[in-house]
Amino acid sequence: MKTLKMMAMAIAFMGLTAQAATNKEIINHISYKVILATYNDLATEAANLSTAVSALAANPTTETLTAAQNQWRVTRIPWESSEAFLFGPVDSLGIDPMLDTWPLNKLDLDAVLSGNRAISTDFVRNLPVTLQGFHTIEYLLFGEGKTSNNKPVSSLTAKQLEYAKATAALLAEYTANLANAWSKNHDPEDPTTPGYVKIISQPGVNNQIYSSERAVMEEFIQGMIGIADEVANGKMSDPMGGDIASANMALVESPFAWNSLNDFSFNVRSIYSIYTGNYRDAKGPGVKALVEKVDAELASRVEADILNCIQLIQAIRPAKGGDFGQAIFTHDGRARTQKAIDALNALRETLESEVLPTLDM
Amino acid sequence: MKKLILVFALLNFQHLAYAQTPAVPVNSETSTKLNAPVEDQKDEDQKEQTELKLVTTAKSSSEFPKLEFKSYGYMVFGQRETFKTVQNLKPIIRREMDLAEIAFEGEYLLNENSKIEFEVEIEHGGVGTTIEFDPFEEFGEFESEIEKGGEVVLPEFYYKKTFTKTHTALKVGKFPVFIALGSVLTKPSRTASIIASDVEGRMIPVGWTEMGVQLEQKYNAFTLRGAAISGLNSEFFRTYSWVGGGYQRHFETSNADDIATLISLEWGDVVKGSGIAIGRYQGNTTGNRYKVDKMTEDAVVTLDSAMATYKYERVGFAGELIYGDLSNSDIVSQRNATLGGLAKPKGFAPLGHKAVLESVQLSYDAFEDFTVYVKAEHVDTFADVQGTINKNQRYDVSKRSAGFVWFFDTAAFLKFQFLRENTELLGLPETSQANFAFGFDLDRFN
Repeated sequence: MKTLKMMAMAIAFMGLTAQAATNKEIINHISYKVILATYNDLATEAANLSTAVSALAANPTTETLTAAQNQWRVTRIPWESSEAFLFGPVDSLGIDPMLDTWPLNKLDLDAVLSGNRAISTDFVRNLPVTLQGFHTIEYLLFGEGKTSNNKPVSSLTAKQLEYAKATAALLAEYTANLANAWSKNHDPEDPTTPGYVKIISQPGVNNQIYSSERAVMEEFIQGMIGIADEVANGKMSDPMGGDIASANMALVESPFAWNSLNDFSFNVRSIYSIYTGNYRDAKGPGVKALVEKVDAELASRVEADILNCIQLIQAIRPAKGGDFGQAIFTHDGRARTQKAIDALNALRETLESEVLPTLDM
Repeated sequence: MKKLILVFALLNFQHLAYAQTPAVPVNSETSTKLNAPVEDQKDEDQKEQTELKLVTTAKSSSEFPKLEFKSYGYMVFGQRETFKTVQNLKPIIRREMDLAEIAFEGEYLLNENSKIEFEVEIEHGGVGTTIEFDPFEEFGEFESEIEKGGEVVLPEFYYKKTFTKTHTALKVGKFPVFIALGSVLTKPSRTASIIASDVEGRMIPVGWTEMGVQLEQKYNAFTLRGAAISGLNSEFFRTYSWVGGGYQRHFETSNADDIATLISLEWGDVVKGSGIAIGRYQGNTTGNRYKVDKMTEDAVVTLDSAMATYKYERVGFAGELIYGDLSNSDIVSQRNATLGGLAKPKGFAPLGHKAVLESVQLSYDAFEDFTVYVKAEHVDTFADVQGTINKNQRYDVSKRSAGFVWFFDTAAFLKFQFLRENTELLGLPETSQANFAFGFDLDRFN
């Protein structure tokens, strides 16, 4: 009987391994169907944002402002969903800070807006990155964000509209460059280089960046660990401060649009995409398929943990309205935030101590 | 035995520090002369003549080369106001301690007319490295870790040949760039304030020395200098320090495709508090970039300066004026903005086309060895801009300070400085800073 059981288990195991995706398939799927697809979505939505802001600048009405605001939120989704893979061109070409530096430097922005220089994309391009990107556009479209995220269209000055238009156009340019670097040419200074997607999906001894499939898989897992750590111990923990008295609204990401909790959720969603290989309509295989080969229970547990983190982040939202920036100034909001931080840190710990070592098993 | 002698010599550091140290015993007459304070050293000529005289006297009982050795150093205790973030402009106070600098200066006198001068500086406590074995790396790996910040640098190392008949001197090696007070008044006893200028670091390299060749010609009280020196690299120009970051110290070698020229005319002796000097530094920086094809346009740095130090009875004056010009500053900004890796400037790529620096310090010897001073400085690295660069008022900075220096021992001092800083950026509050510096300068024994 015992022998029969063992044989049955062995057959089941062989069946599993026969069906399990190879590392090559995992890498190929994540590279093309998750990462490249995300960057293509980002470029498309950023172009739509530029169009929406141009429409607002040409005809500032409540409708065009709402459309631009909505498009800003939509464009945030693929960007925040990419933060588990902030490697490759987004880092080497220095695109990350140009898109998403925060906090916004309002003092310098006010100085620029009160100046008499003509605003153009080149003018904004040469400003510090704290005056460019998503959060500059956010501030101009949504207002202060302390007590409300509804900016009346009448308060938008001509200079602000000019600035928002130029910044949105620049954002579209940067994201298009990023998508191009992944799909066609990862080093703009050398037109003969292929897209980064080809580099990462074809590891080997002749590949100068990824000499093995293991190196790519480690890049994926380290990316997940990195963003889990950043959301827990940077994006959420730093604005919380040690107590309510030291909570700091100025450190909150996306405070003007009250989009912080969505940002954090999509950051964790990016972990989910790499882990499962699921992005929009595309379904696996992801890193989970690798983990399953070693420990099926661990593979399922990690997926559940990721989804739980997203739920805990969304649960921070104050019942009476507002977002993360308001929640950290209430005792119960801080308690909910701490719960999410703890869960994220536990997830990071699992990724570090249990998922990462599966690469060597 | 040699080792024992060396240990003994090091234990007698203080004696070594300010006395010429013969390799073999000298007679008592020579020894007395060597240790006696040298008075009335009004200019470099006189000093050299004195040195030569001493060397000549010593020669009767010893051989060249000879070593002269001095030292200075100081530590700073301070507090300053700063801000939590760019959106939180309520100043907060931070306190700091810094073993700012210890310098060892030496001169090898090779013969009557030539010598090698060098200076070793240990800044901010030096650096520390360690090696550890990391078993989790693929095959087990030894890693070298930087444990703390700081530097050990060799800012000066040059050979100097003096042609006494023609009053000409030749320097080959690494020597101070004679263009700013901060580069020449490096010794604490030369300036009442803690450092010569608190704003130079926002515009040009701090304590600027470069490799090259310099010819000096004296005529009465005038000294004319002409030098060809290593140029700057515009890849490292940054908003907050203008061309200062272009000082090529990042790699073991300096790119020398673009050589800079330096010309200055000095009357009297600026270093010793009795001179006026004007100077011009000019050099292209494009050729010294590492990424050779990224920028092809010239990026020429031109600095025109005037500096003066003068002491009349109890009243002292030190001041400088520097005008800077960076050609194609907008193109440099654009090219730098897309640099990758460690060279990536992030938000600090924009550069001004013209920069200006003004500094004035007045001092008064209230008592013997106790001097009070006031200082006013201004620097604007966006005095003018090119193309689509924004004129950033945050970098139009004024500093006003007051303080004292008290040499409570022959060569040991206490300095105090209270400083207020404000910028032209509307809404940015004025901040203050207070510093105590405690240190020594063995140059005071001369």
